[in-house]
Amino acid sequence: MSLHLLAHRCLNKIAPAPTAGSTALFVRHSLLPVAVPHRTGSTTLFLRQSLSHAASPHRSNFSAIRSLHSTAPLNHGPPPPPDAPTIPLTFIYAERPGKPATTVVVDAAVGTSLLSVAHTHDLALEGACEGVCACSTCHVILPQDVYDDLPEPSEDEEDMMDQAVGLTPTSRLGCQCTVAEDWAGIELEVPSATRNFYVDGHVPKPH
Amino acid sequence: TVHCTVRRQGLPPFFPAHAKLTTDAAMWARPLLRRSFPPRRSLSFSSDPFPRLLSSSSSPPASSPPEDPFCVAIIGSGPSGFYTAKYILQSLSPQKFGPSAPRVEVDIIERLPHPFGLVRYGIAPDHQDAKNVEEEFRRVMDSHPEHDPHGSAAYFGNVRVGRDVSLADLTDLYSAVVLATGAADADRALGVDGEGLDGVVSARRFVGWYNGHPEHVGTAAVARALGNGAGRAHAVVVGNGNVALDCARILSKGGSGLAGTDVTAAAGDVLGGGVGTVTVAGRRGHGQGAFTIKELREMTKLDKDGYGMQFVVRDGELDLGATPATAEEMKSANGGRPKTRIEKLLRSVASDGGDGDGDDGGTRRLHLRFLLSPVRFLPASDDPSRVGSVVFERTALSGPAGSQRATGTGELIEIPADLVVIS
Repeated sequence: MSLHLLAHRCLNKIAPAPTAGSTALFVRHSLLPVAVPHRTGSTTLFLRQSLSHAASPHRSNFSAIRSLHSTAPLNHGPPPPPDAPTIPLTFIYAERPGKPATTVVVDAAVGTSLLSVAHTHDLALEGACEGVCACSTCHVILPQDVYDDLPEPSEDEEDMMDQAVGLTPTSRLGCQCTVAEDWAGIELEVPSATRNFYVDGHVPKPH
Repeated sequence: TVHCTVRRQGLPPFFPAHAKLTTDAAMWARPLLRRSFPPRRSLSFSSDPFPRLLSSSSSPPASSPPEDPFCVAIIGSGPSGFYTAKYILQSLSPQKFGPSAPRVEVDIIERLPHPFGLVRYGIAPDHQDAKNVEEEFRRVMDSHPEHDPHGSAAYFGNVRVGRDVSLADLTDLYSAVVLATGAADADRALGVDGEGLDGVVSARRFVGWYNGHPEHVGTAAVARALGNGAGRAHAVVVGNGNVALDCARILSKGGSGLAGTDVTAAAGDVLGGGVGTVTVAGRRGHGQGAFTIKELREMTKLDKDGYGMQFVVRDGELDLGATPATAEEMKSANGGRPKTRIEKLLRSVASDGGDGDGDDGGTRRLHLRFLLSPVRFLPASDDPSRVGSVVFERTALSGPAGSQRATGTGELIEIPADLVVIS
C-alpha cells in the first residue's frame, strides 16, 4: 500500500472528516508520516515517534526503523468467501444479572474461525487483539466431543487462556478454532464476562 | 477563520482569547457548537433528558422528537475512554435502543496529542500484538454524522481539562461527562532510605521514557545511570508484576534487540546491546507474583531467542515460597491453574543460582528473585549522589492462602545497582 494512501486512511480514521474548518489537533503534532526504508526494502510508516524526537529528528547509531504493526492489522480476519459451505451453529449467551440467557443460531462458514463467525454475524464476542492469540476475550466453551476432536491448543493459547474468566475443561479461544463441516448443529457457550468487560456486581482483583 | 468569528458570539466566556495550543480555533468551537447552536428548545422533558434517554421502555413524546443530541464528553482516550464511547454508541443505537433512539454525540478529550493512553504509552514496544485493540478504537471513530446520523464520535487531543477547559463548563455543555483519566500521574514513594538518589526511577517514568511519552521522554536519569556502557551496568527492578518483567526485558534486549520496534531512538541508543546484569526482585514468593505466564515464558527464552541474556531463577527461593498456604492457592479454582503452570515453568528452568552470582565477563544474566524487600539504597562509591547498590532484606511468608504477607527475617543481601526501577 502506498505510503500516502496509508497515511490518508489513518488520518481519516482517527480524525472526524473536516467540517467547516475544524481539524483534529493531534494530527499535526504526532502523525508525521515519514517514510524510512526498512532493512528488507519495503517501506514502513514512521508514526509512533515521541514528540521531541519528531520535532528534531537526529541521526544516531540506532537505525530508525519503525513499523506501525509488527503483525498485519487483521480486523478479525478476512470475510469468508461468498460460496463457502455453511453449517448452523448455536451460540448460547450465559445469563447475566437482569438479562436472561439468549440463544442465537447462525450460518457459519466452514473453515473460518469462531471469532470471525461471531463478527460476521454481529454477535457479541470480543476479540480485543484482533484474533492473534494475544488476549483471552474470545473465550468460548465447546461441547466435550468437539473439544476432544480439535488439535491440542498451542502453548501460546494455553498461556492466554490462563487469563480467561470462568475457564472450564472444554474452553478454547474462539480465534484459534476453525469451524469444521461436522460441527453442524453444535452449541457453544459464551461466558458472561471477559477480562475486559465484567458484569455488574463483579469485583475485579487488584493486579 | 470567518466561520469561527461568526460563532464566537455564542461562545461562553471561558473560550480563550488566543488559542495558544491550536492555531485552528474552530476546532475548539466544535463541542460548544453542539450544545449552543441551534439554541436549546424548552420542551417539558428536556430539563431531565438523562433518565428518559436511558430507559428503553419509554414511549416517544407526543410533541416532535428532541433535536438536541445526547452529548457525552469522555475525558481520557485510553481503553476505558474508548470502550465507554463504543458501548454508549452501541447501546443507544436504533438497533439496540429502538425507534426512539436519540442522536448521540461523543467527544473524547485527551490531554496528550496522541490518543489511546496506555495502549500507546504502556505496552512494551516488542509487544505490538496487544496494540491491535487500537483497530477497535479506530472503528469507534469511524462513526460520523454523514454515515451514521444516530451516533458519532470526535476526538480532541492536546486539551487539558482544568487548564484549557473547566470541568464545570463541560458539565454545562454535555448531558454527561465521563472521567476516564486513569490513575494519578504521580509516583508512590517506597519510604526507603536513599530513594532520592540519582538512578532510582519509577517504572512509570522508565516505561514512558522508552515509549516516547511526551512528559517522560526527557528522563535523563536512565542515560546517566547507564552512561558508562549498558553492557557493564547493573540494573535492579523492584516488583513482580508484568510491568516489572517488561522493564527487565527491555533492559535485557537493549536497543539492538529492539530494532524494528517503536522504541524511541534515544532509548535504543542508551540501552545499547542490553544491560549486563538485571535483577528483578519481589517481596513475596513466585506463587504471589502478579506477573502472567506469557511474559515469564518470554523471559526464560531470551537466550534461545538470540538476545544473549541468560535467565536465572533459584531453586532455593522457589522452595522458600512453597509454603502450605501457597500450595493451597495453587489448588483454587481458576486462580489455581495460572499459578500451577507458572510453578511448573519456573521449576523446569531453576538452578541453584551458584553460577549466577559472579561476574564472569561475557555472560549477561537476568535474575528473577523472590522474597526480597528493599530496605536501603546505598550511594555509589565514586559518586555519592548516584545509587550504587540496593540492600534487600530476606522475607518469609506467613498468613492464610490468598493473603499471605511478607515479613522481614533480618538477613540482608546487597545487590549492586547503577539503575533501580521501582515497579
